[in-house]
Amino acid sequence: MKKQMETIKTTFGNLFTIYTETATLLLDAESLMEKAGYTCPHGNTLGTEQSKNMNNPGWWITPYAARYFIDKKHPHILKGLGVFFVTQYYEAIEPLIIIASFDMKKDDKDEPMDFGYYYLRYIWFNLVTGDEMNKEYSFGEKWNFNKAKVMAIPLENIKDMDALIKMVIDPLVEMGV
Amino acid sequence: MTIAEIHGKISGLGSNLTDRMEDLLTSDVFTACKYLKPQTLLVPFLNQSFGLKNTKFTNLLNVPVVSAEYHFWPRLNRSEPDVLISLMLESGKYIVVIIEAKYFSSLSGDSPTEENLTIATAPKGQLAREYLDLLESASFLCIPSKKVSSYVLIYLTAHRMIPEDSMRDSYQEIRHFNVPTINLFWTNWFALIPIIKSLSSQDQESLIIEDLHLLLKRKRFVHYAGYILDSLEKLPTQSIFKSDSIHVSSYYLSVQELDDIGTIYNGGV
Repeated sequence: MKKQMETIKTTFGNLFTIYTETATLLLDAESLMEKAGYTCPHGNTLGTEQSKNMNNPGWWITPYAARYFIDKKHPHILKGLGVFFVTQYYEAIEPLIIIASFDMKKDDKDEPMDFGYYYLRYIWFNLVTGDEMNKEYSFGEKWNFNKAKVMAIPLENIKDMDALIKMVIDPLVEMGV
Repeated sequence: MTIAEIHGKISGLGSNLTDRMEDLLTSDVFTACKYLKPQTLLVPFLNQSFGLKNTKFTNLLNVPVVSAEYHFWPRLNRSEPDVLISLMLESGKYIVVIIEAKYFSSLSGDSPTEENLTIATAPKGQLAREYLDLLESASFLCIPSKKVSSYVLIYLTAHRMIPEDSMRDSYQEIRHFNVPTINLFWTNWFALIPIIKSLSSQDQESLIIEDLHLLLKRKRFVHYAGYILDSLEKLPTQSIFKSDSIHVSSYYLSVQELDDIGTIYNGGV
């Protein structure tokens, strides 16, 4: 097999592995968040953005995978957790876990307003001015939230369940808005 | 050996395999337990189970297990649990265990509401029905009830964390029927791989354990443990195709023949 064909084969093989491990990470994260009093509104559906546009081939593959969680006691508090492989410009990056906490606006019936899957992506890559890892960034009103906090963690540091709990889930649960 | 098939859980043509994935998984795991020494897999697996009030199976097991007898899908008075196991202890006593295993499905028969429970005369929820059957199972197993030191119902699921709501509902329903000590525990399929990884079995046992390990990994009963990817160095150097250039030239020949046939067709009809 030619070297380039080998590379394509390995790349796709690895892509399946990356998505499988990402699913495991997110499912474990979901169960840990549920234990902490949050509910995930997605069921078995992955929250992501993807395009099948012929002129946008970079987004044929899933560029990131995110889950949002609603605080059972305070439904206007929304938490988000996503694994990101690219920037908003489809550039491959060193993979990141992005976590965020949102204080959602309420509608006329005092119900929390809807959120968009793109919130996590957009706030880290567009709204935050710094790019320091493991640091909370705060910002104010935008779209359907009043205020939010966001933090990025290098995926490389999350090697097992212990690291997932200590470096991702605990900070996400404790993250105020 | 597929015990699920012996017990008629899979139709002759395998047409109900999708519906029976749960029975097949139960069969695969507990067949492996049955073919191994109880201390190898079954006992460590049962020891992983625990109840809502931090009660644990391991607290009931203070004497070594001598042998285990398995009954798959036994027909009891109110229910047909997945596995009924009698553990014979070194002391001569027994622990009787029912396993209610779930994969994709949930419990059958909703537990009654608090209001309905006050007037309930028979259990409705699956775990409550099985628990009452468990307490009467000594006669089914031909064991004198005096010799049974504990009865345990283990709810085995694919949840990553204990399903507290269904466990609590079932516990309350069982309690309504004046059961003095309730050993209702939970564990998940995910508990098996860490046990398997810790084993250093030899001989024939290792073959069974290896296959079970592969099955559980294939079913993704694993927790997050980082990303392990192939590197280019690991790639096979040989092509997966039988050949490249020779097959390409023969392909052109067949295309030419097809062209000829096309010409006749176009001209003749």
